[in-house]
Amino acid sequence: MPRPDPRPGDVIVLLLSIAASISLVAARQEAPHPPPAPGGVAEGSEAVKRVTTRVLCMCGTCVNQTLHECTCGMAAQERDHVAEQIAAGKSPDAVIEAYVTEFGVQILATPEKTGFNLVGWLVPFVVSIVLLIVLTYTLRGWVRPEVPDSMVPLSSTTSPGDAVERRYRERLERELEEFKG
Amino acid sequence: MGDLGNFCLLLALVCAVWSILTSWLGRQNSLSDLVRSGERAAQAAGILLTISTLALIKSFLDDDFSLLYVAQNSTRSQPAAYKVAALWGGQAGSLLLWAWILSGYGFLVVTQNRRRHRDLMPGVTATLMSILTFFLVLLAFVANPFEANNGPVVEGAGLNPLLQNPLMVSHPPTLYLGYVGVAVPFAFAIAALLTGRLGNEWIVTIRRWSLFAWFCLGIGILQGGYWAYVELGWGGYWAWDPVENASLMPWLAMSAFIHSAMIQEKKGMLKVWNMILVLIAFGLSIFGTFITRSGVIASVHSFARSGIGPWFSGFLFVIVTVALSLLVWRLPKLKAENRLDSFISRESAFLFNNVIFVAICFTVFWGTVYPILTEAFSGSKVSVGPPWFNQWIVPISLFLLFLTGVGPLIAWRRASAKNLRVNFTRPIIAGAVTVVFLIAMGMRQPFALAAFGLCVFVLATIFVEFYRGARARQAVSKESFPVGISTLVGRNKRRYGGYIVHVGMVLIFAGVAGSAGFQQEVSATLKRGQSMSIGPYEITFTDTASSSDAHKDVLSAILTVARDGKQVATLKPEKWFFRASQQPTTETAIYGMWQWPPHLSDDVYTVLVDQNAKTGGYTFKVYLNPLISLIWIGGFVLIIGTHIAVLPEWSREKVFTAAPAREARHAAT
Repeated sequence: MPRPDPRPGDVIVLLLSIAASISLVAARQEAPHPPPAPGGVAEGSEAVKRVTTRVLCMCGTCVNQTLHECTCGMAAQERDHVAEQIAAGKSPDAVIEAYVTEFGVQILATPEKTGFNLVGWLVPFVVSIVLLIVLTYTLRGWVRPEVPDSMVPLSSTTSPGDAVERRYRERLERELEEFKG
Repeated sequence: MGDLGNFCLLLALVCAVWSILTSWLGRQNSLSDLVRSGERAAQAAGILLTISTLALIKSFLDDDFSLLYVAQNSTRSQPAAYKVAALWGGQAGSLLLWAWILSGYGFLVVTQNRRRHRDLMPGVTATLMSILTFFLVLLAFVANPFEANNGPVVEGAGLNPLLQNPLMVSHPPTLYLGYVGVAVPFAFAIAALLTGRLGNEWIVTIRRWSLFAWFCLGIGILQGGYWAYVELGWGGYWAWDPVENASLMPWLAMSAFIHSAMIQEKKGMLKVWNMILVLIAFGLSIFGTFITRSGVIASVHSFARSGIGPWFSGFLFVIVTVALSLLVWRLPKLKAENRLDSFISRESAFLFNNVIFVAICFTVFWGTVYPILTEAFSGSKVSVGPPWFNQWIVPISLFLLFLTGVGPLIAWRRASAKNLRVNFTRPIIAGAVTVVFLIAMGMRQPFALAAFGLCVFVLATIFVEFYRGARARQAVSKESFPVGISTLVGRNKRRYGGYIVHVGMVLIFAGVAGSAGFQQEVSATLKRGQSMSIGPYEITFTDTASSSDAHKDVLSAILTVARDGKQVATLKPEKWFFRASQQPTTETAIYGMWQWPPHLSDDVYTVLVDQNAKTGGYTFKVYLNPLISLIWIGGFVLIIGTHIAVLPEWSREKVFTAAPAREARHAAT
């Protein structure tokens, strides 16, 4: 006995599960820790990187580049400045806070997850889920109702070809009506 | 030359306006001569803009600083290639390039369709010329590249140093070919809406145009990524900068369209959706130009800014209003001709793939415009940087990758449980084995594991498709396996070209996963003879060298790269100081795929940051980027796949019907 086809509901649950699993997996990603440089004078530490990867370079030409990535002279100075602050015993959060006080929240590489900015964080997720749900329900409406084999009597004079022909005839009549109208 | 260029520009504007009027009146009054006149005017505009563009290039090559634009973007000492590239180095020249490419497309479309699609063509010509008119008005009255320079100028300011890179000779024109190329499908869509000819005619006609625009956008994006990689010196290739996003968005919309157009061709469905995608893609290409040119959003790539933002926003408003009004007017005629046979089918997979493309496109759009929205609504400026984009785009893209594997193997119309089991068991096992193997090898990053597992899954599904097809040919025609593969591809270029494109995309995914997930970096200040280590490599700073040419001073550091005690490369990262602009640039040196023999597993990427005044040493940043070469190799595969997909199909029927005709011609002669 042939297995029944999966139902739309099962498929959307499966797809959403896959999407959710991938999201969880990706959200938990962590950057690898690079090995320390054995030679020369090391410039950065993990604490410094916590600051420099969250703070943008504000020199005016390196838009959207963090202090960590930017190769301009000002970014190099700021990295040294951050390293000095951390060496002086300041926590990374305190250094970031000082930058925000001086330049405003636009110095942060991403909006904070508070207040109005939550809209910025959540809208893509909500829109993606809504799109998937709308598509699923739209598809359900588009799927032609399946006529079980058992409903078609063996002695019936109506062959599958007749059904196709009937559909085309109906379409032709509908389009002729539209044409006349 | 400037006067000739300006004259041709103004004459092209007259031709474009004439073309709109005659195409429209000819269509309304069924006067084919007027329609022809409009088409010839469109062709004339193409020729005139070619002369205009060549005149500006000649002015650059002649160092004609009597033109303000030339004086602002060139110097006498600039190499000839960069003098030509200076054409698109500023605002007015970029707009001229836009208009020139559009007029070229107009010329080709009119020539290609001089005996075809006669009902659609007036609408197509009028739409293309309306867009051209907008750009020509801007060029003639707002940002004229032939504007005279008041006062004597002996030397120009020079091209922005960041743009003085060989890739800048090809990257902007390639990207513009894509941006502007989207105008052709848009024009056909508008013509179809105007005429009510909403069947498959316009979709079939624009298939190659859409693929070409999509391809140019894709290659342009990859070239831009490679330029950022070698020129900006931060070890990466994509920073989710607004201008980068602006090129990605129309590419995503066109990717969705290329897939959903197949459903309309095969099933007569998704007519409204396809219209919307084409309209979105063109709207986004104008939005991209608006972002690049207006300066409304700060970007590292905004090399040319001015006050033309309001013009673009007005034009965008007109496009959206007209297109949506036409769409609403024609909605009753855009009903689907068919229904789906089953929820579990290739059609459904394509639709899910479409939704994912649109979701990614929306996310990129949202992240790009969000700083403007927050400033408007809450009064505070925020920045949306790479971490925000990565958080959303990475999971959605992985889902898209999963669907890339599902689409080709699931049956059209209806997939049974058996079909799913037979087709997917082996690819799923291959993906799972990959994940287990990588875990056993010590990889623990969930994102990377998911990405590599899915990459292998998708490659396995494509391999299964090729293998089965070739085996079927072996059974029928007794061909060898390689011959079977080539016949298979030759007989269905569109399908198998598409699969090769998918292979290219998988390679790009793998390259991104490897380089983003496992990048290592070391920063150190070294004196001569000192070394630093990264991964299995030891990098030794041996010496420095200085040199100068006509327009810049160069400081080079000489580094040797050794692996397991054996020297494998000598690298020369540099700092260039451009005298005219007083601007330094970073010139990276990379040990990677361009070496002979090619080194593909990782890139050793070195940057000379600066000379440390305190210690007297030199500060270097070195990145180890695993698998990054797969991104560029994926680009080449994508080129091959797209070329195969656009080649004409030589069907058996065509061959059989053409043969008697040829014989008859021979007999007659």
